[in-house]
Order: sequence, then structure tokens, then C-alpha cells
Amino acid sequence: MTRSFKPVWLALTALCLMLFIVSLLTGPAGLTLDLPFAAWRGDAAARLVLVELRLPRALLGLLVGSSLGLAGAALQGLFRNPLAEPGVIGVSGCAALGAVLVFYSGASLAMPMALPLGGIAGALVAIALLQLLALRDPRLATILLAGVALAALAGALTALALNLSPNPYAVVEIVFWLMGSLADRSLQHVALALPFMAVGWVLMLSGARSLEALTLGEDTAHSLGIGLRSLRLRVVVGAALAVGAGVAVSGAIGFVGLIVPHLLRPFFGHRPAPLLAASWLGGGILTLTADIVVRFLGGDTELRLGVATALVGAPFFFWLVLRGPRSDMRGGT
Amino acid sequence: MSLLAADRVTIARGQRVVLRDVSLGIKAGQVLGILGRNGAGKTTLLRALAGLQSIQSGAVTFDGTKLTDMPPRQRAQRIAYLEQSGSGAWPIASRDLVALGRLPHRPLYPLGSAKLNKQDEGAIDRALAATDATDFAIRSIDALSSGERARVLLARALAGEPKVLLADEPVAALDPGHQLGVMHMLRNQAQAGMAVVVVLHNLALAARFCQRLALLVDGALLAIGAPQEVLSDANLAQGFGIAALSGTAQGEHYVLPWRAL
Repeated sequence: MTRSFKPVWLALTALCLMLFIVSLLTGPAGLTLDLPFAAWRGDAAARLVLVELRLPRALLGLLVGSSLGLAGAALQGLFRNPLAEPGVIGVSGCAALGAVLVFYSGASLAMPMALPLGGIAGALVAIALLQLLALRDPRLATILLAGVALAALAGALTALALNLSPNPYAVVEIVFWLMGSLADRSLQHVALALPFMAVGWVLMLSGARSLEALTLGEDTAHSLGIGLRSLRLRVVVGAALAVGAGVAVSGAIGFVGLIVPHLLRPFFGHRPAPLLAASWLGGGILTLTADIVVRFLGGDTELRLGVATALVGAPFFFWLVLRGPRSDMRGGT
Repeated sequence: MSLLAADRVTIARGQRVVLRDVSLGIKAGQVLGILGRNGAGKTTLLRALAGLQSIQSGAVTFDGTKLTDMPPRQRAQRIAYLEQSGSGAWPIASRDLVALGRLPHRPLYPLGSAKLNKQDEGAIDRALAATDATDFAIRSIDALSSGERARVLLARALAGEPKVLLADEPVAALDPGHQLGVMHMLRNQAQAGMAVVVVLHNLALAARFCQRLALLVDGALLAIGAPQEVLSDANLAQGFGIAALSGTAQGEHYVLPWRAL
């Protein structure tokens, strides 16, 4: 029904802000409530920790998570399938491959920013391939399956790069990076990823009404005056920009785009349009939470964020599949 | 003067010609039934009339303007298309689904409030009332029976207040009571001034509820006209390979498929 979603919006926004602050206050050894006061009083070390370490981490948690959540909701709406996810259509995989190739070539040692650029380039290659295919055969099911194949190919090529690597140090570095993490990032990373993400967000959000029409199928959406080609272009390019930039600076953090829209859908009457902005906030909330939890778990070796989301997300994916062809699993035609 | 007209429309899919040189017109206030065997080109013709199908030669015009020359939203405001066995991908509330029919009248990129205005709300209420679906408007489309869902989908098409309604087998998979109910609703819409085109397999309903019928055989128009002329023994033999019983009851013509030839 067209009821008001205001309380849900307020709750999501408040939760997101609260988690952002908690993330700023959380260190490798748990909460540090006195840190902001120390920084305020002019403690240079405290200020360094807050601005150089905590702030980039919290910001990236918010931005990468938002990108993944929004991209998940937009792709699920486009494919009319609750199992669609940036990882599934090969965008994350190709972004990771692009970044791995930069690692492999050693360019990342000479120029640290080559890494994010490699990730974005990989994501753009993925979209270009999917778009070329869409020109030949515009059915969404075909594009979805091609994305699955593309993800597998990116995985194989990444493994090949590791396999052939003459430098064991590089292999260790790549493997750790692939696990996904927000630790040890700088504001430079934020500045590099944010413009791409912002453009991606706008492109995806602009498709809200059209995605709503797509609830009724492609023919009916077309008959309602929706330009399907433009919608497809906006959502796929937008998802690739946002996710590509995110993967490039944080490594592979999977399943956020799968879980977030699924959890939020009932709160918005299962409608695709309000779900977009909600998943944008929700992705930030989930990623910030996960990143706080891995820090609290502590230990000598910090649990990688990507490993943590996969450990929770993969069984969730299984559960979604096993639950069978229920109502909200019907799409994907 | 026809409101919507197909002029010598030919459509090919690869090497195969699926629609050959089809011309027909629909006037406001009429129900036109499209008949034919499976694969005769009925859905292709309906999609062409909706402007959803690229056409090799010929043209479809609305009020004299080619559909291809009309902006998509303008076309969508005038022509509603009800997909065969359509459904929703997500279990949204029935009223939300009907509201989708208002999209051609609403801004595509809303900044600020996404609320429906009074005009939209009124059209949605009228559409729900016309299809007798007001009672289950707040229920999820998933919780509806097929008969109820068919009425909600029809309400979605009516909510845009179109001049032309194109419905592809709207009574398939419905029990006889609901079939009659939906056909009555379509006839009421025509009587209120809409032009209605409906693809049907049920000859009895076609004979009773349509003012005109078009019979397709292998993508070509075999006959078009009043039901009694189109459903002649010769046409039924050639069009469907059947013989039928027919007659008049309570002042209305009926046809009952009897045996395959």
C-alpha cells in the first residue's frame, strides 16, 4: 500500500549515523571512547589515529556498503530475481581481476593509485561485455547467465595469475587483498572511489520508477512507456561504477547486495522503488556493523571483512535457494 | 473512423513470416476479438497494436498518428496492454500493483515526494471498483486466487484510463464464472467508450461478447466482421479444423466447438 515509510527511514538513518560513530570509536582493541576528547584537546597521536586510520575506515565502510546494497537492490529489480547480486553478474569478479593484474604487474608498488584504477577498469570491461551481449540478445535472463559465466572466467583468470606468479610475496598480498578489508585505507582511497560511486548511485536511483514498472514484466513495462534499453544501461553501468570503485579500494566483500534488499523488502511492501534508497542506507549499516564486529573479535590476526560477510552470506544464499520457489522468488524471466 | 488501425502489417521473425499483410481497425465502444489456432500470430498482432513489436512493413496508427511517431509515454497514456498470464515479480499489495497503471501519467524522475496525487488515487479507486477488486486491494497479490489476480491485473490496465485496451487471453486459466465476469467487465468498458481488443480461445465467449471478430490463419487474416459471419462452418473448418454447433439463445448468438475434423 502507499502508506508512509517515514518511521523506517528515520530508524535506518539513525542506525547508520550511530554505527558510523561507533566505527570511529572502535579500535583493534575494542571501544576507545576517550579518543575524540584527546583529539579535541590537541593530542597529535589521537588526532592521527582518528583522521588517518578510523575516519577512512568508517567512511569506506559506509560508502562501499551503500554501493553494494544499492547495486544489489537495483540489479534484483532489473532482473526481477532476488538472487541477483553484483558478485553474481561478474562485476565484482572482473573488478577484482583488474586489481589483481595491477598487483601482478608490480604497478601498484610504483603507483598505489593504480590499484583502484585497475579495479574500475575491470568492472568497466565487465559492463562493456554485458552491454555488447545485450545488443545481440536483450533478454535479461541471458544477461544474468552471461554474468555468471563472466564471474567464473574472472575467477579462473585470477587463479591463473596467482598460479603463474613468480613472486610469493605478491601471491600472499593478492590473496589477502582478495579477502576484502577496510583496514589501513587512507582518505586518498575515499577521494578516488567516491566520484565513481556517486555517479553510479545517481544512475541507479534514476531508475526507481522504471524498476517499479518492471515488476509487471518487460512487455508491460514497455507498454507503460518505460524505455527498457535506457533503464538497463543506467542500472548496469551504475552498478559497475559503484561496485567497481568499491571492490578496487576494499577487495571483494560479498553478499551485502544479496542480504540487505532481502531483509528490507518487507518493510517497504516489497516495492522496488523505495527499496533502492533503503538498501543504500542498509548496505552501509550492514558493512559498518560487520567491520565493527571483526574488530571486536580481535585476536592476533584480524578476521577479514570479506571472509566474515561470506561466512554469513553464503549460508543465507543457500537458505534463499532451499526455501524454494516462494512468492518473492518467482522473478527472473 | 477507426481509433486504432493496423494497415498491411507484416512481421517476420528471422526467415519466418509470423504476420502477413494484416489490416484491421478498432472503433471506440467496440470489443474486437482476435481468434486463431496456437501460433497463428494473435499475440504478435496484439503486441504490434500496442507498439511493442517492430514491424517489417505496414504501420499501426492511433487516431491517424503512427505509433512509431508517438512519444512512448503519450502512447502509454492512450493504449493499455494486458500481458498474457501476467503476474508480479514481487508480492506487492494489489493496490500498489494497480497504481503501476498510473505510471504514464506520473513524472518518471520524482524529486521529493513519491506520493500519488488525487487524480491518481481516483483513477485507481475507479479501476478497482470496475473490476470488483476493491475488497482485496490491501492484500498481497500472492495471497489472491487466480480469478482475483486476473481482476487486479485488469484493474492495473484500466487505471491508466486508456482509450484502447489490448488484452491477451485475459480469461485463460479462469473458471467459467470468472470468465463470464471478466468478459462482462470488458464489455462494460467498451460501452463506456473504450476500444477493447481481446485475444480469445473460447469461441462461445467470443461469439457472445465481441461485436467484431478477426480470425487469423498462419499469420494472415482469414475473416473479419460480425461473429456470425466469421464463425461460419467453412471458417471454423479452415481456421481451427473443427465443426461446431451454433444457434441463438435469449437473443444472443452462441458457438459450441463439437468435434475435430
